[in-house]
Amino acid sequence: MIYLSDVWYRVGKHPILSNINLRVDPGDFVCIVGPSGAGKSTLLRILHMEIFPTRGKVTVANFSARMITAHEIPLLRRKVGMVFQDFKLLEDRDVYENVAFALWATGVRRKLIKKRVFQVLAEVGLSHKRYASIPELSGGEQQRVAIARALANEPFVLLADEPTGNLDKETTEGIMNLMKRINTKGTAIVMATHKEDLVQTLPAKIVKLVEGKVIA
Amino acid sequence: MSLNMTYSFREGVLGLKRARIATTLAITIITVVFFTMSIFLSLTLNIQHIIGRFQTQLEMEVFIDNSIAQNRIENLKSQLSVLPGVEKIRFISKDDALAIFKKEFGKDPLELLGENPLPASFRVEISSDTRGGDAMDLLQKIQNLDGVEDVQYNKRLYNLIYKFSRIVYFIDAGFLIVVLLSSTSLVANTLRLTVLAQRKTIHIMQLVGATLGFIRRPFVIQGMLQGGIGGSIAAIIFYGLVQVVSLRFPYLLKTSPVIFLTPVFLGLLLGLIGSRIGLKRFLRVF
Repeated sequence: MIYLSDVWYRVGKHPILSNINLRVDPGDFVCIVGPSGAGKSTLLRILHMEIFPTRGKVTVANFSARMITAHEIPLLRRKVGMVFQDFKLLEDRDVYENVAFALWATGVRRKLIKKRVFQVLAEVGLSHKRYASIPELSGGEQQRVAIARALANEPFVLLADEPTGNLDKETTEGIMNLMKRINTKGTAIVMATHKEDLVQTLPAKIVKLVEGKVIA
Repeated sequence: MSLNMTYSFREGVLGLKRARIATTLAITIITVVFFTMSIFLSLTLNIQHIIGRFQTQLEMEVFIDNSIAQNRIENLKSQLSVLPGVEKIRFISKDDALAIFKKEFGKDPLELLGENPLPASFRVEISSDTRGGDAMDLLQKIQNLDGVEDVQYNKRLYNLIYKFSRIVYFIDAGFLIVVLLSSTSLVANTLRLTVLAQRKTIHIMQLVGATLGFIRRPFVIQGMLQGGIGGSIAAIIFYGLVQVVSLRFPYLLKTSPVIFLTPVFLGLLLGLIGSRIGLKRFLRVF
């Protein structure tokens, strides 16, 4: 499923990640914790194949970072959903269009798009706001839209880069509950966060990263 | 139309609206450039037409060797008639030449010389589509025919027309290159601006697994629309101009439907090429 073996990532001579070994199986919940600059986002970007390791072996689904072609990267991303701290939503489109966008972009048929968008919006508890514009929504609601978009293509794993970084405590709790619910339905989750206390209550495998190295 | 094409077309049209100022500027310039090109093409066509009419009025006078027999004259006539560029041949016998001489100079050479010194000749009319260079070739071929004594024609005027038509062709070719380069680079630059403005959308499309082809398509449609609209407006304005000028000079102006269709198709084509160039550097997998 996801397999990293002796992965290094350097920028110039400066190592960002050193000797990372990680395995994520179907239905796993993995939390990567560590302070800012520890390399958490870099690790997720490697899994999403936005960047490639300087050394080591990375396999996501059946795609190897060494072998994957430019044409195959979109196919990988349809299987790997991703959410960000800054949500990355299109503010000139409403909630429905933001979620449907992921399906349009991957060539799903119109009838199926409508059905699937309503389904994922129900999953994240935003059915009633499907035609709301993005700036109208709270931070928590915007993150739910981003999660709905990431789930639209039914990925096997959801990568979450500081999904609660911009949210207050109460909203954070709601998002974490949503993550747990998604995970219990079978989607694996790899979440990066600097909030160590947040992951204590989660039924998750915890990977602690400091200065690019796994320490626990 | 598939959902993907509907989406791409809608996004292409929206792209024009999003980069409104750059698009308006590009379409305006493309219109001006293509309109000027249409005027130029039309001028060239008309100049060609006038040159052609001039050329048909220029005749070559082919003098026949006095010593050749009558049956060889017939043979020479058939040889001349099959040469490319020969429109019409008129035979001027020795007696005809004498009559013309008498008419033009008022004197009879028979009285002075005791015999008719004037040779028989063929007056060869050149077809209107014969260019200067081809006329020179024709002259050479006629001179080489057996039984031809000499060929007379207005060399200076012919050369002048030939040179003039060549200059027109060169200016045309140069202008066409300017049109092609400027329109393509305009479309490419407008699209670069649009792509830059749409960076976030493009990034999100890549994150959710859209292929580069899918991302590129709306921009290509946008480029083709820019070129096509600019070309069409130019064609419409030019058509209007031709109608107005035709009323004043009905016999002078020569046009062809190709002149009206060229800017439209060229606009679409340049839009396509320009958008591919514009996107090349900006759209990559990341």
